[in-house]
Amino acid sequence: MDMLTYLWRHRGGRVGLILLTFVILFAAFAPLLTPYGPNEQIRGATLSGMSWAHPFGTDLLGRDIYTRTLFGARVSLFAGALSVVLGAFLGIFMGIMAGYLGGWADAVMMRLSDAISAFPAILLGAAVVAILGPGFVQVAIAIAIAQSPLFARLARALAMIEARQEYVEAAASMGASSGRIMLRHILPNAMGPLVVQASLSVGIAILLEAGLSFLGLGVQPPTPSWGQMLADSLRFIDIVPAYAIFPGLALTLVVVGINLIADAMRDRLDPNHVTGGGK
Amino acid sequence: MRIKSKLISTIAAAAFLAAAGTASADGVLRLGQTATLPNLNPFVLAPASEPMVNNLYDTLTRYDANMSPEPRLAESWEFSDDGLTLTMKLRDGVTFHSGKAFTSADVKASMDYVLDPANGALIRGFAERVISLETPDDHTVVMTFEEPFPGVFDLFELFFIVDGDTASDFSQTANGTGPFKVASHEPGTLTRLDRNDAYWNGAPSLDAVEIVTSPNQQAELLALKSGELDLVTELGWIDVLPFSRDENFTTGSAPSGVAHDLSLNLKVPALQNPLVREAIDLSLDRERIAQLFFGPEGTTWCLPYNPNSIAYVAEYDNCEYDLDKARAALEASGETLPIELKILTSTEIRTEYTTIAEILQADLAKVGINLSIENVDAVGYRSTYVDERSYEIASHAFGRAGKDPSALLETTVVFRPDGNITGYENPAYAASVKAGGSTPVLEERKAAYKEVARIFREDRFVLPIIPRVRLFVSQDEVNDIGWSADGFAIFEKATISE
Repeated sequence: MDMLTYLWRHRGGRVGLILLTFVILFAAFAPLLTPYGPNEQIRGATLSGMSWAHPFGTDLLGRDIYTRTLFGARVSLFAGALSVVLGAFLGIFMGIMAGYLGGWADAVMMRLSDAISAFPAILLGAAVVAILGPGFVQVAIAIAIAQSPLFARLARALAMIEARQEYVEAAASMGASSGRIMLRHILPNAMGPLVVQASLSVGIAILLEAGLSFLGLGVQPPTPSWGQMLADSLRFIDIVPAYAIFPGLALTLVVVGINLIADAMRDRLDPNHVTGGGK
Repeated sequence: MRIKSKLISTIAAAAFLAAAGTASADGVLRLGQTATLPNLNPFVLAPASEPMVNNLYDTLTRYDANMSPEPRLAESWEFSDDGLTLTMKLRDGVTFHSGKAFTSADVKASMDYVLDPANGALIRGFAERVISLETPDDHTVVMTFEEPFPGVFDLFELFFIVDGDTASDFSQTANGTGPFKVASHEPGTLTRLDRNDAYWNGAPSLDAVEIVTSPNQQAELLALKSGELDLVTELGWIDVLPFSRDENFTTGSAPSGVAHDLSLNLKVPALQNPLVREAIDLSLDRERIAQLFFGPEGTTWCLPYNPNSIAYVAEYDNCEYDLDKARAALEASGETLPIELKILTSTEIRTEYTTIAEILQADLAKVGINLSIENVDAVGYRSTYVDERSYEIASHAFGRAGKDPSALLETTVVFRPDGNITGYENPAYAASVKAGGSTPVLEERKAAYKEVARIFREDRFVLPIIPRVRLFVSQDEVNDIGWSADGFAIFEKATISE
């Protein structure tokens, strides 16, 4: 609640909060906001332009683009959240082990992290999807792997700082195991910057999901996703421009909203971040 | 102010010229396609090979517009009275691109290559009807058949003559006798074919043909609009529509020799039930698919032939789209509803595969079948469909549509009686297919194919959907492109006007 109040008082945070709340509400209540199903094909309505019945027009199969944009928000938000949770879990595990244990654990974890970082995220995502096959969960795993080095490096640095603190030495001298020290002592004290990183990563993850879906590697038809809709719209951009405009606009708004919230959270939670003040 | 307005006019004019598109002024025809041409093997017959085969290689005969065989490398031919022997006189003075003289030994070498299972020639099953090929002299070939072979000219349509000395490696080399010869081949990028000045039928007008691989169809169409490409084929009606209103472009259609189908794997328990297959057939909205893909040029197929085919039987061209009947068939099937099935598709091979799958999915959901779409890449599709045969339903397209029914029924994976891709086995079907393809007597053939049509519609192991129309757009200056009976482009007589 304290964080929500803070975000509302932060100028950028407030805009981000409004944008994201709108998108979440649209996604959650999508079935109430449209008379059509996301995959409902309306015969005779192929590539119709904007109208009262179809505010964003229809696609090749006569499906309402407005409806598919609403339902596409679910895919984007869920893919973003799931992949960041998975990526953060993997990266934080690697980073804290490396930072606290040092030695071989540090060398192995960080070289692994370097190897993952060596590939552009979209290329790595495409490679992982090529192995696992296309699909929603596979894409989330691919994005999680691509993002894990961000968390690993940050968690390692934080663990190294925290490991030198007196409370850690005290816990160790009282016989606490390494696992307990990492989980119960270091991790809670390193959470602030990691949460900021997670919030920043959600926006990137949503864009990556859209990118992979655009390439046909993401969510499979007929499930709507913004990236896939953008890819489909390319063929018909002359006939139904709204087909490309609205999923693209929705994608922009949600990423801007999340990034504004992340910036505001960084002002509050990241002790190393110097800000001009967003209030 | 004046400078500014001039600048704007100049930019606008440049943009207009770029947008309007103009054909190449250098005598090079640039054809765009999204599929990658992996090698120069004419016997693989992948969609990417289609614009290459009739331009690099020649055939013994080729069908004209009336589907009558006309002489190419064979100047004349004669069947024995019993129809079991075909003697062909070969054209004299023909040379391969390397300069080597073409002889009957090359016809034999080409046949040996096709018949070797290791080479994976698509026409092998069909060519096996030729039980011996003799070469009494350099310009005579004698073929013997076990039974009369009325579809032999269909075989010749796809039997490209290659140089027997170099036929083992098609990765970069292609020594044919065709109107163009290979200048360079970069798979996934560009293949350039230069004019063969020594061509036996007179050198082509074009200096060269470039087959350009585009990353996707949108990029291809933009390149056509800007004049970077001169010809794009394999388009949908909606893609062609804007070009048909633009005087800078010519649009047209050609036969494609390809038709869409649904292959039903009979190893899947639910699909072994004829009523389930009937329900799927009744839920297939062929009319809508035809309109969506090819607009006014779209037609539907229940049987895999045109109405002018000798195998066409009007009484069995009886499919209908009726979801109530489909629901009733499913309820009578005794299966537990809803039935869960998967459909294999590959947007990478053809976007239409997936569109068909989505249309079918929506309709089947209304009658009690939950169809999930498995959209895989081209390699995955081939492995699942051809190698493992582990698909349940496949959105697929077959070739040889529109020619002699014996070619279609005996060689395509979905129709051939032996080793059918759906797992279908029926001695009566096999006997009728064989009977139709092994007699030259028209009435006997018609009778046999009538029985094939009856069994085919009764058993419904493959559901033909629509024949593909090869819609194409070219720059207005491009003329006289020829098309084979299979819809493969032929640039022998093509021109680019100034």
